[in-house]
Amino acid sequence: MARVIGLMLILLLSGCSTQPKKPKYPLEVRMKDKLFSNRNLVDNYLLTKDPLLLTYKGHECLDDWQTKVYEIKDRLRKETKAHLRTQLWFKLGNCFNYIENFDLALYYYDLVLGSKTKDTKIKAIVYYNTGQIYESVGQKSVALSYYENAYNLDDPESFSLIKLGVYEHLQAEFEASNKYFTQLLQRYPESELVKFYIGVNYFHLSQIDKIKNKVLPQLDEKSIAKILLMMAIDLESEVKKSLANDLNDLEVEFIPYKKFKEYLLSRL
Amino acid sequence: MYVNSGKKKQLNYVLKMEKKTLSQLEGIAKKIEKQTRDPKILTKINYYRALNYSLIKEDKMFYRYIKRAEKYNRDKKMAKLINTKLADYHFNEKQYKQAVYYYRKIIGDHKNGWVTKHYYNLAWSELKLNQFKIALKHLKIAHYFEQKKGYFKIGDQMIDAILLFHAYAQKTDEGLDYIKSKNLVSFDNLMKYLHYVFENGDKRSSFRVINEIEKLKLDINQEYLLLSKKVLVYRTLKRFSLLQRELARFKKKHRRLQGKLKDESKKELVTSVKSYTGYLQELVVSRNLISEKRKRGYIKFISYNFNVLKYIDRSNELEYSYYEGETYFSVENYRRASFVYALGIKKAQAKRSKNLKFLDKSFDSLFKALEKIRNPNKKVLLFTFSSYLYFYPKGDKSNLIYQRLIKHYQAAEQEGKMFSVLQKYNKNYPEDQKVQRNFYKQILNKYIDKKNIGALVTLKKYVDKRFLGFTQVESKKIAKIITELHFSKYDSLAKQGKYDEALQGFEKLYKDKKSKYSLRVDSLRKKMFYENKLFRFGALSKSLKEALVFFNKTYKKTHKDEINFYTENICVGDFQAECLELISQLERHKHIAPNTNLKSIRFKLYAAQGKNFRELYKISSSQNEKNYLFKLLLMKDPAFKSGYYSVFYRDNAKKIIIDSEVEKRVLNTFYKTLSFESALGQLEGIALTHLKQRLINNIQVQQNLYNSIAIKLPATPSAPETTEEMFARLGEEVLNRSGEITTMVNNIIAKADPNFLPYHLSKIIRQLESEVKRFKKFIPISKNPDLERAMTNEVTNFHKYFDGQIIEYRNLYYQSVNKTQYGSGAKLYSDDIMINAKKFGLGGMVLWQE
Repeated sequence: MARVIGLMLILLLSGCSTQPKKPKYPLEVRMKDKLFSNRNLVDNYLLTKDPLLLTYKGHECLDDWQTKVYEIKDRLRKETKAHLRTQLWFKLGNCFNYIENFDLALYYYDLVLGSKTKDTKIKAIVYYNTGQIYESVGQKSVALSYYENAYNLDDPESFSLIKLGVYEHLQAEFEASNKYFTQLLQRYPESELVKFYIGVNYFHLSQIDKIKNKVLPQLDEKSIAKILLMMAIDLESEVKKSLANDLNDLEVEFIPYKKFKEYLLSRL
Repeated sequence: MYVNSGKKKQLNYVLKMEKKTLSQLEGIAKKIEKQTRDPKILTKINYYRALNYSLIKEDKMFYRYIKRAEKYNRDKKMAKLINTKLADYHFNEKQYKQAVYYYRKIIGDHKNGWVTKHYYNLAWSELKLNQFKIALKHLKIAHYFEQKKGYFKIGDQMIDAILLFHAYAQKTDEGLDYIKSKNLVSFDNLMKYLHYVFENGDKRSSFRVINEIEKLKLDINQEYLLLSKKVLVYRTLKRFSLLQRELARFKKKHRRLQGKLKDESKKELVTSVKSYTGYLQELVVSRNLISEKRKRGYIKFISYNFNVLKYIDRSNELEYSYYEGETYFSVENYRRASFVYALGIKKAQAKRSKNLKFLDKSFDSLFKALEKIRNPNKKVLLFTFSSYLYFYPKGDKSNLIYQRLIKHYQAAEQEGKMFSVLQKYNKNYPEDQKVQRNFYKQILNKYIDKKNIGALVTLKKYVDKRFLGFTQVESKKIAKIITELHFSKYDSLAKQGKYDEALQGFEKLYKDKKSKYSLRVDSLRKKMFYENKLFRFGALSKSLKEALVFFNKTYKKTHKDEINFYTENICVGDFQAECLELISQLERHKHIAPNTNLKSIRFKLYAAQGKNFRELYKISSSQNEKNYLFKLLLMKDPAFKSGYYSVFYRDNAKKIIIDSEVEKRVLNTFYKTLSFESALGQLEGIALTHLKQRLINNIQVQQNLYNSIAIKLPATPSAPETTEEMFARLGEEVLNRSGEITTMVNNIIAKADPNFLPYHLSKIIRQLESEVKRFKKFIPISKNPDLERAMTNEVTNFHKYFDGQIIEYRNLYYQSVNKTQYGSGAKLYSDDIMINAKKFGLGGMVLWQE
């Protein structure tokens, strides 16, 4: 019995003697709220399990922002190589995006661009994220020009293609939009979201056959993307019986799907 | 007693009276002798005459008359008295044979209380006649009676005799048994017995007595005395090894001995050990008598014995060391001899002994011994020199020894000691300052060559204290050298990667107010250099701030690029607060103004930290900064409310961006809502009055244009029958109205902003379509079939014309949509004219990349 108690005590103590807490960069409550909100958003993205959005996995700052930022800043103070320092600025800029402290994000991005780095991937992401910053505040034209810059540098995640594709779509430039999405599909051939975007553009181009032949066969039977596109075909083919009910019964949380669902409902 | 009291006259008188009385008594005795032949009387007369002469020590006369008494006597009682007197007489006259004869006659009377003495004296007489056993027997009888009541007591002499007689009788063990049986065991008795046995008895049995003594609990004095005796006994018996063991055991035991040691005890032991050691030395010296091996053994013994002597007789330690050394010297073991001499001197020095009788001799021998050794032990040599100088700071050999010792310490790099000797040398031989300074110079140069800063610091301390008569000039010279060496040392440390040490060093040099200003500046610069290299920006920032205060105008000017470079590194190292503070400080120094890069960084940092825009704008100087500010403004004020947009608007590139964004926003709003009011609402709050007004004017113009669009086809005749006149009037109106419509459309196309034209055309088409629809309801009816047919044909032509117009306008519409600004939103309506705002069901997503 005494041995058991001893063992438990050891286990208890070993449990208590955790590693020392890592230092953290201070973060205001409102910033924490923004971080939380961004994290939720990303969680939703990840729930789709879409390869395009799975690139969010392992985004350093999202998981433990305060520790990560402290670490990066600490490394930055010790880093001796210019190109590594540029990378750290870049990372800091990215981290500050998640708390929507765009002042600092732009500051670090400016340092990155000022470093005359030849890393086009980093530059493309800087342009892309700067575009996202401007888009977030409503400067769409400015944002677009940054997305185009990123696109021209062949940004690694190709998110600029989404932005440009969606932009063209919103301008009713469906064919132009699909040019971007088609490129995106090459990058993410398994992405249902990209296929959905393409399908929606075909829908607006009244190219139902292309939806039927090119898009639907590539989508999973039970995927929301497929269901929505099939409903859209039904809408066009005037098979509207119970469509409204079916749409209303369809539970969709992911924004692109949700908006299309709303659009379809508005058409009924 | 009289003689002693000096009363000689009285003594002479007494003696005179005594002789006179004896003479009178002699006369009386002679008279009686003549008068009688009675042997009884004659015996008594002669007996008493003998007693009288005995009293005045007239032994011859005593013997004559006692013998006469013996001759006349026939009485047994009287015979006892006479024999006793004769026995004692012969005993005292050492006529032992006769004494034995008479004592044996009287010892039979055991009732006589004096029988103790008679046996005792008989025993002694027999001993003298070498009849040891019978003597011992009679002595034991005497002892027996002595212990009985009423018998004469011999006292201590009896015990003494018992011990002696046993020894003489070679009966050591019996003696020991007797002593034990009679409770006579004591240290004194046993020691006495040992002495007797050793001197007169069986010497070899002395060990047994020693064993008995050792069984006793001895005090310190007794230990000393016993050892003294042992030394004597063992030495005589040539038991040297045993004796050495005894000495070793004593030395070991010595510390535990308690009690006060008497001088005589110590003296006796010292004497015996000395004597024994002397004896050994004689043996060693007499080379031919003993083997080399044994000699070496004896030398060891001698050495050990001197150590024992040093131990028990510390006041003469030096003497013993000297003699011990001499022993080794005599057998040419000079190395060992030197050790021994040196050790003796060392102890004398340590004890500050005043008994230095053997010091001179010891040093002489020590030097001689050292001279004989090819490679003398350095420690001994060193000690010899140091010690000699200690005892003889100005002795015969001192001057030379100072120099040798200095050279030695110099070679051994024991500078502290070297200077200590040099100081003493200087003190005792001030006249040799030149020689002494030469030593100093040699060492100074060596330190400089070796960059031995610590040693130079020590050297400087000496010089500061007026060492060898040096002045402040020399001190300053060394100080300068030290500082320069320090600098070079820290630099070297840094090059070896020992940055912490190097940085500490440079810090120290910089803070040393006694150092030259330029060197302090260079030290601080070096410190900053390595702090920057190590990316220790916190420390670098501190150093820079100090530099800004410490550097004079010239240095600030000279090193301004360096300072700017470091500051820039601090800034890009993300030390934001330090960066801003440093740049502000730099601005206050006109000789090191922050460079453009720094200003730009500061500017951006201010911006990032949310500094007031007005201030930011105020301090922005470069195009780069202005661009950055513009980027920031676009982000912070997407509604273009800031007055600063007006400033940026002057820059054509920025104007294009602003125009594009605002115009697009207006257009997007318009095409989302198809409302001029909404589009105008988009412009609310925009600070760019010119742009705003231009756009407002434009929207208003477009609105007016739009409002001006009113397409009305002529009213068709409503009468049941259309007359020719009526139709002709209609035809004319159609022509006129068509012309008007065309003119209006052309006017709209000409006047409308291309971005709004689709909307105008859309209205035109819508209205035209509506009117055409209405117009097409008109069917001309006439009773005249020809007229009716002609009118119908004409109406069909009208229809065709209007349809054609609609098609044309629709074409124009689609063309105009494509001609709107990219991203205006007009294309949302590319499938039809604009009636309701459209949506396509795709929204954007917030997506960040890493």
